[in-house]
Amino acid sequence: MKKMLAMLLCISAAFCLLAGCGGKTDAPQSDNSLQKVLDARQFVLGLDVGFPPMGFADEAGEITGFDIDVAQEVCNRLGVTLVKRGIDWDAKEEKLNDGTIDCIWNGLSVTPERSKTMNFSEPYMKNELIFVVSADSDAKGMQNLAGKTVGVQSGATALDALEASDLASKVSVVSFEDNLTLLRQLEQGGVDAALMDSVVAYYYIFSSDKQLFVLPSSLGEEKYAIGFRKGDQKLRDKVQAIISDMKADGTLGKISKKWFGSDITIVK
Amino acid sequence: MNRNRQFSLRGVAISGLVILFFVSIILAYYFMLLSETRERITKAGELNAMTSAEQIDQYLSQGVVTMNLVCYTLDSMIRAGKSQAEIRGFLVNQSDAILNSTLDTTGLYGYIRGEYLDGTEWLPDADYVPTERPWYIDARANVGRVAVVDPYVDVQTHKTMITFSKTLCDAKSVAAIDYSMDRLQAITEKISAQEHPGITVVLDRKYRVIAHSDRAEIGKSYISESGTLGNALVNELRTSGKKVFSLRFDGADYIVYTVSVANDWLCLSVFDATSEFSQLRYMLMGTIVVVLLAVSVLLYIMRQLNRKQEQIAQLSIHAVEAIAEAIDAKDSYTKGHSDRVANYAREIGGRYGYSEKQQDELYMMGLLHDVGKIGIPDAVINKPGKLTDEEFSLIKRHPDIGWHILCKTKEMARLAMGARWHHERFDGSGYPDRISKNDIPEEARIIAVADAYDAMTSRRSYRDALPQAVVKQEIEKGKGTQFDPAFADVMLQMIDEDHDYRMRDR
Repeated sequence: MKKMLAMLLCISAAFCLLAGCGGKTDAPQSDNSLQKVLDARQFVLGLDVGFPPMGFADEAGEITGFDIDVAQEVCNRLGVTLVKRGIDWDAKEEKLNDGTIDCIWNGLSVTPERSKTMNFSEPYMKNELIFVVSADSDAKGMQNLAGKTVGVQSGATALDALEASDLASKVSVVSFEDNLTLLRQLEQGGVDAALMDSVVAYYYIFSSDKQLFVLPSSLGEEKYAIGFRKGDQKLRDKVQAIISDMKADGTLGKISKKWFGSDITIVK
Repeated sequence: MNRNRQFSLRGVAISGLVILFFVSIILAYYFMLLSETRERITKAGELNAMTSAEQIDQYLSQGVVTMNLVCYTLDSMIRAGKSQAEIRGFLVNQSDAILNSTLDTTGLYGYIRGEYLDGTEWLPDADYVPTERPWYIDARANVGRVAVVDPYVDVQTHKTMITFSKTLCDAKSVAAIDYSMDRLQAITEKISAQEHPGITVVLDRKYRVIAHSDRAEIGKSYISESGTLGNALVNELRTSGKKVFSLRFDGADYIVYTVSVANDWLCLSVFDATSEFSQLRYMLMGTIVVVLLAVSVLLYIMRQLNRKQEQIAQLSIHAVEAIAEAIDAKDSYTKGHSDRVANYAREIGGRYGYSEKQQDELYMMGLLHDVGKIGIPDAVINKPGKLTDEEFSLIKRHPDIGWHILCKTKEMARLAMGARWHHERFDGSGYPDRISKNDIPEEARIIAVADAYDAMTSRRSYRDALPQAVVKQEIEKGKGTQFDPAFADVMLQMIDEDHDYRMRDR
């Protein structure tokens, strides 16, 4: 009889284990990131203003772009004002962490390195790192770039990708403040090739009459996401939830159509 | 009666525990089986999903590979400044080559340096604006990657077509090729027909149905539907982020696998696991019913057996009681003596710490302690006057006679101890063997106390029952000489508790 009881106890214990006793929940930290934005009634977006068509200053000096339009809609739904603050791309992490800006939202590529210092949203677009050359260049592909000068934007993932590639030892690298400066240098012959985001390159070449060409192969695919401060989980989740709603109700597709002609967002 | 009720209560508790035990074993087994089944379905389904996705991806990637190759050459031609006529020539050549391959296509075309060029030399209408066509717009939007353009129905062939298009190196020119969706649909339908009974769906980035094992679903936009399986799937896809997930919809259990194919499309394999799980549920219920039945039958049989055994035990007790009565009947003055001794002995044993079974044995021993009197002539036993020495020595033979009678029955051999030594005294001055102290079996020492007590508290031809105080005194006096002090003390305690002197022959 006692044995039987013991056995029953064993079995019930086993059931408990099977059922997986104990639902572990993360202890909520004092995260008032969302409340801070709501209280201040403003959401400060940090960008490099030379990054068309994601975020850039137009001829009139007005900051516009795909990311700006999406952020504006997010702010409308949050009931806060969108503040667009131009920053030095090289110092974006500092500006984020010292509170100058609430997020980096400007065609920011997700990398494992950046994931350590930032809290990324879900990716919303794909991008590739490609080389742009001028019409008179004899480079038909990456393999022809040896011995040439390649320009990149400082603080961009392009530099890391280039350094990690076979080309690293064969080319000399020059850094520029933003992509528009870099492209002007390319046109003027200051550099032989520019390594940049395909999104920017194609937009720039298409909307200008410049005789620039994209080389066929890329240095890798990337994804764009919004970068928040490491601890700002509530703000990040709220913005992400609004973007998901925008995907479902078609607003995101409309903004994508405006800037790219079609919905190319990869929001789930 | 109280004892009986207790016994049946215990029986119920034991049967309950036994049933509980079996049911828990079955349940444990069921859950094991359930997770195993889930895992098995998951594994088999995953393989299916992967194969389906692979086939679909393979078909679609043919388009991607073809476009990449064609565009590589077109890029070189543009960079080399080849003429429009040369480029058109290349498109025509390539289209011929592709049309002769396995692909179901209408050929290559493109918008090159501001002019529409067609590899099949189709001439567009005057109002055809290439830059407003989805193939051009999507190619540009996909900045250099091959775009898989939303399906459309070809006006000439009435076939559903998808287009692969890609922007060329000048960021303005676009090349494209159309594929028939019939092949993709056929693959999808074939997969669902052959493999696990399930649904195969190909969704584009906007959750529109590109291909579906059920043709009627093609073109639906699952994200904007509500209350459909498709919508439930999309909601789960958007929230869970898992590659494999289970879904309950409309009372059915589904297991869903997602594999991404051709750029950002999704291939879903949806398996209806309802039947597998309900089969398992039926099996569980069946097993429980069978086990419960088996256990109840077993318990019933056990109860019957128990009852039989009890009956036999009762029978032997009755038989012994009858014998005891027969012994007592020989002696007109000792009516009920054996029965009372048996009861007193049982009580002493119980107070001393004997188990139920040992008490039962003591009781039997008490009943039969005088069995040897059968061998003594009635005349001697019933003689009213004083016995002669000869007669007395005849009487003294009864323990030995009893011993011999009881030793003959194997089942009652132990009872013989009571019969033989209940006239032994603690100090060794008793009969027949004159043994003392612990040499006398404990049971016999108990019977001795009980026997002496009943002798004093019974009427005799020459006297009434002795007063309780005298009896008490006598027991006290016999402690250590006639009686084992331990049992004499138990007897004294019993006497003390017997305020109305009920414990006597009445």
